[in-house]
Amino acid sequence: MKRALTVAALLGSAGLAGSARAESAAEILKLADEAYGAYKDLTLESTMIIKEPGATTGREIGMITQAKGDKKLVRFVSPGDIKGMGFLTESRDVMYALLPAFGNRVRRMGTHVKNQGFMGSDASFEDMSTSTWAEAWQPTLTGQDDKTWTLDLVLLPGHDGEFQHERIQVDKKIHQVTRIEYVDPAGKVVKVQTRGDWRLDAGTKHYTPEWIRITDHRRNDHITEIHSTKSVADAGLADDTFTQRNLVRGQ
Amino acid sequence: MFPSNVAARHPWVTLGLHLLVAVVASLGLARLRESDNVMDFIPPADPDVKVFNEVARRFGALRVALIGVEAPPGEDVFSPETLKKIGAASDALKGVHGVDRVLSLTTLADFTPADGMVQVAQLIDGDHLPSSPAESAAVRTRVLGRPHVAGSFVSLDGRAALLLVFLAPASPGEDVALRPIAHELHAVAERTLGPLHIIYGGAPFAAATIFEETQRDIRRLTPIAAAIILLVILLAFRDPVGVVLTVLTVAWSCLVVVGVMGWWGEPYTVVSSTLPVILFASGSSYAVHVLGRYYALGARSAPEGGRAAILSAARIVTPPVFIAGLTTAAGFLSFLVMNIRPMRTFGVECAAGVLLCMTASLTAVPAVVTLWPRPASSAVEIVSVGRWLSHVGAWAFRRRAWLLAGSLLAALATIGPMLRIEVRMEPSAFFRPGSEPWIAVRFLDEKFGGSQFLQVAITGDLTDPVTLREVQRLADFARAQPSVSQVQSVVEPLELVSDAMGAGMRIPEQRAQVMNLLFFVDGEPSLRMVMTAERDMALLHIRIRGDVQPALAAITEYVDKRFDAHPTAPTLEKVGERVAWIARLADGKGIDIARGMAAPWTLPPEATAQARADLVKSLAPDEPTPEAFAEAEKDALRRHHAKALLADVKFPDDRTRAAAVDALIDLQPLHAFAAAPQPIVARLAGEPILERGLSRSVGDNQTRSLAVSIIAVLLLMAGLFRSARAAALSVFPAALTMMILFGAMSLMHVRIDIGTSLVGSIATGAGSDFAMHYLWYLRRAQAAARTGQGAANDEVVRFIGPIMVISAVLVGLGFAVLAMGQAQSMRLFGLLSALTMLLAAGLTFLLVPALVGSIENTNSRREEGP
Repeated sequence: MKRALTVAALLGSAGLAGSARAESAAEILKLADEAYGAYKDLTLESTMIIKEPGATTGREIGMITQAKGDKKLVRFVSPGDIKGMGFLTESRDVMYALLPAFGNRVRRMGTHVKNQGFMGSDASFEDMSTSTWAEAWQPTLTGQDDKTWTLDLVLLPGHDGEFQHERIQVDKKIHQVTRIEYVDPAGKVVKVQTRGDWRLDAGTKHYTPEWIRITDHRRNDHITEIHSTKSVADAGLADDTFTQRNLVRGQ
Repeated sequence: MFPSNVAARHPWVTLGLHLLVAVVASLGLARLRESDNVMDFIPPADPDVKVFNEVARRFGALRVALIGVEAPPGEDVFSPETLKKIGAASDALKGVHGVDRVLSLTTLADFTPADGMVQVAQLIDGDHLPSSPAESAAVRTRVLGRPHVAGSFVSLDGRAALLLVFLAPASPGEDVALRPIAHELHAVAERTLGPLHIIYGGAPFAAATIFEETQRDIRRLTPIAAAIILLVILLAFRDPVGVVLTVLTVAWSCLVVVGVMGWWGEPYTVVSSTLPVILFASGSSYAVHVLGRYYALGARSAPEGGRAAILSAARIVTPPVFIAGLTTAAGFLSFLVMNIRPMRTFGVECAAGVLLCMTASLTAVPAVVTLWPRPASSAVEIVSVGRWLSHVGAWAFRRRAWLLAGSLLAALATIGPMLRIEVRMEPSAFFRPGSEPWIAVRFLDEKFGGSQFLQVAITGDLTDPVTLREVQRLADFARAQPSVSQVQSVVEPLELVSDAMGAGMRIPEQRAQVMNLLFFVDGEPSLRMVMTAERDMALLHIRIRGDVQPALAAITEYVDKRFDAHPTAPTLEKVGERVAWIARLADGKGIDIARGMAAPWTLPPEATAQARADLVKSLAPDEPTPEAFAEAEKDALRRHHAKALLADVKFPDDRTRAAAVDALIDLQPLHAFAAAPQPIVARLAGEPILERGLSRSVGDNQTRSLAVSIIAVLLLMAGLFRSARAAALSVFPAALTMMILFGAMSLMHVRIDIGTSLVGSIATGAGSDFAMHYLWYLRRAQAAARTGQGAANDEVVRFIGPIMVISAVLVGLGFAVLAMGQAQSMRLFGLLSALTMLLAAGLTFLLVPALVGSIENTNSRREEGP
């Protein structure tokens, strides 16, 4: 009887702790969003390397990303066959693509399109457009150690996404998301994104990862790496940088 | 000194050694591993097989398990319950170890223009299944409206669905057993799709079924073969100990061979499993020869007792039995020239088994009858059989001219058909009517346009528009073949994306445009099936209904002779052919577009205005340039022109008409086409090509092994008789049997497969034994008659005749037992082997005395004197 009461007490305290930790989880996610957006604007030069399973080298794609608030503009600068292509993200659900080989046509991308990858990479359009977490995800703190918090995220109703469930790790010091696990409906982790070698952008509190690595287990551990070569924060990008007209003309 | 002398002198040691070998061998049984990997039977050096392996390496899985499911009566597969089951099955099947991917209604991608872009989404979202009859009907309409889905993943009546389970290719050196995977897939499908009616098709299930049917047959037939042998020997010798001894020599040999395989690490394959029956058929005659002579000599009545009788018998039979063992073993060892490893191993296994049977007959049998002497056989029937054979020999000698002329005529008559005999290794040939794969083939042919997939691998720069047009041309040609029900290539997703971009349902004219389109579909699982990530190899998947040969022949001819390795711009002739193929005119003739193309055309004003308005809309908010307006008008004009040209041509539907219009406008490109930057190479791949490679290999192997077998047997006979003429005579009945067999097979449209290809070599070895024995004893009898040591007729009546007839019946019945099997190939193999053995024996009884001279004739000549 005594033992049963002890177990019940433990369960009760676990429940109380759970509700307290759910509140903390929301705060952690907010911290992560603030850390992610700790700039007025950001220009990032990077190289994406797409590796087939087992390969040590891969296809390299050069790109420049400009970001301000929720808006993003991505231009591809190499190799030559895709040079000039680009995307404009106006909000989480509004994206445009520029097709230079088709007379500079600009096409709005359907909401389903953002779930798919591009150029054979493991990064989806959604990965390229996502800027904040808190608006779309319900977090639960599931663990922590000296360096990171681990949050389970469930997609909030009214939001579309490839995954309904993700698990992230947030660095306790710089509040950046260092690892994302993408979980399928069966509870299996099918894709993992890790970020590392954080670099403080000059004049800001924003950290940029030197590398991002995405491993898709569904594609036999297909790997995409993004290496950041240069980042400039708060350079004073104009608002009209993030327009369809600039998408076409700015190439 | 004969081994029988040693055995008779040291019977306990001999039997002890046999027992020791059996015990050691039986320990090896625990190490024996089964292999049902049909890829083991594929010759790796064959050019077709090399292409298959390369394509499998670049594209991943080429082996597909097909799981069909039928909705309950009165329903279709779009009901929420059935779709839920298909979704659950797809997820569960994907999780089976060895599965690469699953394509089904709930996993298929759907390329659709949406929001001015191409949308790649799940065809049916597993998380949002229809929940009402109205929603189900809407899903049904949408899915059946997708040409790449209807008829391929769901039957046109909506009552059946198909799940394609792609198996992961094996790593180099990895031995992947298909059977456990097939069993797991079966179990998962039953669990997730039951109680719906499920059909299992494709190579993995077929291989498992064939293997298991063969195993069941062996388990069932081996005791039957043993029982028949027991019965025949019992009837012949009336001595149970002799019966047991004969069976034990075979059982011991079989145990030793299989045990050594275990110790050696050699896998027990589907052909190895026939070893017991083959050894019962071809290895039991040695003990019969030894015991037959022993019984005839009258063991207990011999003055020196049993040991003297067996030594006397062994002295007479050892040379022919030894040579018979060697010739039969040579027939099996001729498999060593085959380029299929399991067949080479099987040849060695059988040869070793036969030699062990011979050894046991010449050692263990004498040892046993030395220890426990047996009574003489006095069965009247035995002597009657010998007397009958003696009469047959005399009759044959009297009509030798007719018999020889008849033999030569038969041989000549078989040459033509024999040269036309077809070697084909098709899975369907192995399916027992009513078996699971047999039902699956019919289900898939009826509901899903066939179960066979031919692939064409095309190497080149697949971002080049001209190269892509050659891929498209080949796809259109394949689609025009009557038995082709579906063609998938890289062209379709590119066309869909192009359509979404507002550039029409066609391959772009510029490389940069192709790159723009690929940007959006690169990496999609469905694209992975049709083009490598490096964009240097494309794969056409061609589904064929019914007999694969007509389509295979047409596509092979196209690839060999008509495929353009250095294409430039589309020509009038090429486009004309394409339009005809799109109109489903398989020969590519009948549509003359040359005259129409030469005529001047103008665009109606309203069409011009529409083209300009469309351009403004597509480029908004930017204003089009004058060059862009000019290009849009030119595009509108050429489409208008093409539509008018094809107005009177009949097409199966609007979609194919639109495709023909797009083909035709290639003749008026907006941008000049450049020649392909690198040569394009097309090579056929897929299961039918694997089967073609295997067929070629089986045909070549048969010729080689037959030649080696005949030469080896001739040499052995020449060594035994020290006469080339006698050696040729020994082989002649078996060779004539072979010719008649192959001629008859050709006339009856029976194809040679991996099983029946063995009949020739086995029959050469075992069949020539009859002639060899007959000739050996005949010469012995004639020699005895000449020296006055006995009557030759007595030799035949008492000794040769009974033993030869018993041997022929034993071998014939042994193989005939295989004809009672359920496995189709085993039945044919057993039937043909039995017929061949009996025919070889019959021809031996007629031709040997006809050519050498009958016993009665010898006797009469002796009585008449020189």
